[in-house]
Amino acid sequence: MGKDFIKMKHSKILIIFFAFFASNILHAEQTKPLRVMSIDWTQTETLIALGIKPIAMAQQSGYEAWVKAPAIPSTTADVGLRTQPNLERLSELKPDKIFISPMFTSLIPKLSHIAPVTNITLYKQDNISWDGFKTFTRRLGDETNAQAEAETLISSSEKKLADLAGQIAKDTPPLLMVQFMDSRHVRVFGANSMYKVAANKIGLETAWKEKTNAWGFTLVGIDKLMNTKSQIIIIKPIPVGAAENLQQDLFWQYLVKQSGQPALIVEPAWSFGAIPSTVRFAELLTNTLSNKEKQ
Amino acid sequence: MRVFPISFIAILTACVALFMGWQLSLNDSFLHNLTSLLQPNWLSDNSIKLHLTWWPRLFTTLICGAALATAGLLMQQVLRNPLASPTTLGVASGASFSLMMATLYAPWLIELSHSLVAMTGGLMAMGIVFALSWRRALSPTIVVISGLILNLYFGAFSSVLLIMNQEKLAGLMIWGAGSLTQTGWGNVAYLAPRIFALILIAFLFVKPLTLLQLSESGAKSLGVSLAKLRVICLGLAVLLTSLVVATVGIIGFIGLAAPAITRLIGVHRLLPKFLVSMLIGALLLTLTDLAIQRLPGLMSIMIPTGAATAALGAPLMLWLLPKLAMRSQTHTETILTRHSEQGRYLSKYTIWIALGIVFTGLFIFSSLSIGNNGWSWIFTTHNWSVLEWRLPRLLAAILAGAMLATAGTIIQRLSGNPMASPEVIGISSGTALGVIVVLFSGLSSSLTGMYIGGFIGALCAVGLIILLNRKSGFQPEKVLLTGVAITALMSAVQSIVLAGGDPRSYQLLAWLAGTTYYVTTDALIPLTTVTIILIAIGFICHRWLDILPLGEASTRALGINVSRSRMLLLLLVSGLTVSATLVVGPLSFIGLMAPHLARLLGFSRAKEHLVASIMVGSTLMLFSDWLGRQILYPQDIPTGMVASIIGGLYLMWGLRRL
Repeated sequence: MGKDFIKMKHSKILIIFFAFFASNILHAEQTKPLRVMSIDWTQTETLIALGIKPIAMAQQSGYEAWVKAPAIPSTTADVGLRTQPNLERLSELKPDKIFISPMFTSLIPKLSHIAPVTNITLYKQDNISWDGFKTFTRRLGDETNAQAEAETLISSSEKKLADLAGQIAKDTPPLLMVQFMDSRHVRVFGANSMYKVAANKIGLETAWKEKTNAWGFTLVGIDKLMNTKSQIIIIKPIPVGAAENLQQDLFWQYLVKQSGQPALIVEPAWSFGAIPSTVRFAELLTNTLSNKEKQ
Repeated sequence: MRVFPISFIAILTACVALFMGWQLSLNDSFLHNLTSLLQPNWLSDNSIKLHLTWWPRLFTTLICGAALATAGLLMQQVLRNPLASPTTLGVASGASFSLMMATLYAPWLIELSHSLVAMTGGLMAMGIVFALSWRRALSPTIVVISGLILNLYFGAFSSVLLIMNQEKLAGLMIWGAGSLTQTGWGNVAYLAPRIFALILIAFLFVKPLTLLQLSESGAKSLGVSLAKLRVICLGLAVLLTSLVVATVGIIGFIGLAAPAITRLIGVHRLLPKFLVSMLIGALLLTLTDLAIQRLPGLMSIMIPTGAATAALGAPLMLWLLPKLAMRSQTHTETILTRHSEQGRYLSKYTIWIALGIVFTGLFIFSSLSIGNNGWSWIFTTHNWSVLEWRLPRLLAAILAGAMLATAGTIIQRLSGNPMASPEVIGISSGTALGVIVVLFSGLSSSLTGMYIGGFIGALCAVGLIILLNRKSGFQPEKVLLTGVAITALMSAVQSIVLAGGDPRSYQLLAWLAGTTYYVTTDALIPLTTVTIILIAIGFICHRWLDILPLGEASTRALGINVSRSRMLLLLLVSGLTVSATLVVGPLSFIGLMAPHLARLLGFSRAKEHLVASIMVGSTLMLFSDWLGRQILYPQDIPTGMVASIIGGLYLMWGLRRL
């Protein structure tokens, strides 16, 4: 009987212990948010837009210069270069989950020692569209227990874009969206680019029909931009010196004259971003176009 | 002149004319298109396009080609080194570096004048090279080495800037790949008078240069001031190069290939050599550019001409190699590989001290580091888990440093060329090419994929080196030239990839910079085994390494089969380089610097030289790996870059004493 008692006691203790731990874990899950981080700026951007505070990110100063919004929470640590995040620092931060994009697959053997690594693809040929962005956002939401936030982000963005579409003049010609690399070379954005998704969502077409790379652009000399009846949109930043050169460049002036519209300059969003960047760019674009109408 | 040179130039001209005719017969009548040069029809798109883009581009290529060929010939003539070219003296990398710095930290300078910034950078690089080699009366060898070191130095700094500011510097990569797109006559109007004047001045020096060609002492006795002549001619070459580099970007290979081809087709007197080189340079560049413009669809946009000349020039160079009559090795024997009598001897004692230093270094560097809470010493924090991250990297750094140092020592002694290093003979480049192909063909972006690709690339490079040099008995200079060609091909492909702005290219850049980042604990055991075996073989061969630098005749007299020993040593070098490269990336400079440093420390007998350079190599790598993780914390600066920045400084200091 003594034995039985001990047995019972044991199992009781076990049950009590188990219950205690389980409640602890459940408790922790409810109060402590998942500690996640991402190497990729597009993922970081989306995570922050979902209301998650990533514990770490890579190349913070670069994000601030190129992605700009949404703003990085003050609690987010910088782990250095995207190509080689500082592993010691990352392991001290004890993340629960690390997100990467396929560009950084070579980091998996190292990163997986720190936390489970989730590889999410966005930028690849024929994947960049509003549906692609939605899938990407939902996937990140699933991975971070933020399904509801993902749906909210998607629907509020769609509403916002629909509003913007209403402000666009119906007779706007197709857009030739270029970003100057130096005074003679541009990235022209076309199929598979975030800029095209943004333009299409507000009811505009893109003028560049040539093949683009997985990031949605073609790098060309400006001599390849002839014969496009379009509205030229210059996406900032314009490299130093290029603006002066363009004013003196006979060929560029001929191109602008031929397009039939003065070229417009738009503030940039992250060229390889997802939903937050798309909405931001759509706003900037709408503002620029409607300012032009007013003039 | 004989028939061959004339017919060669005639064929080139015919090709250029053919392409021009093709372009001019498109869209409109030939005559209309031709007149668009001077009198464009402002109502016709086609005419405007020809007038503002095609014609200026044609003239730019002709002028640039001629300028680069002249610069190359001047340098090869003055430095008496067939490997000398406008890029050898650090001009292009100096220009590129100053543009990067200006773009990042002083944009107003670029607004002031883009060309001026680039030219200042180029001239400053040249000034440093002169300053370093002044005490040796600008001796050709010292000039070439100084240029090489400066190149590596700027290259390392530029890569650091690049991986930290990839978005901001994207435009500069296009310039670096040499795109010749023109949108008006501005560049032609700027370049033509300046280059014409410089070339005219160069012609004034044909006579003294002819004397120099005969012999140094002969020239001296005839009253030619060597230092003055060298300063003027190199200065001219630098001005020519920096003008071209500043306006259109970096154009590879023309400066090296045009004079080389001229020599090959049998032009030996200096004046015709100048004229023929200029013609060949101009025609080659123009032909390449015209051909590229005719490529279908987007191919023509994605391949910048400057990089393409380098890529096309490489096979040309490889094909020409067996035909190249080389001087024997003794002729190129240099100060740095000279068999010095008062070489320092190593006692067993010193070896223990050196080993002690390496292990103390390992101990300190693995325990002391910046962390989330500032500097920390592992014995006070007891946070032993960080060793998991630090130790494999530090150990791999030591091993890789040792292997590359051994490879470098062997190849420098073998070739008697101070520019030789495992990187220069093309094995690292082969590895890198393999990795580029794997990454960008979409085959794989995992580490295993990169390793396999790299390994296959390295094997191809070694195969090519052996195939092309078997007949000539592995003559060191030819082996080096093979390497130069493979390296040129690799850097061309790399700059095309970087110019394209594909975000994946930065992962490649980080790997190419040479980092121990990816080393895992599992990789250490095979790496250690391979290192010990290969270095042991190196020591077994030390007698060859003592004898081979004495020259072919003496080596044979001592009963050694020159060809076979060279081939075996070459295979050993390949093994060392491939294993080091696959684990820590193609670290570009340890193999070059460690043997130099060991020699500057006074060790010249093969065995001592090997031991000393292994010690130098591994200590330098160890320290670099640690420093790279601290200096810009939390950014992780690749080991290879840090090593070359530290080692380069010491080398420059050492050069002054030489």
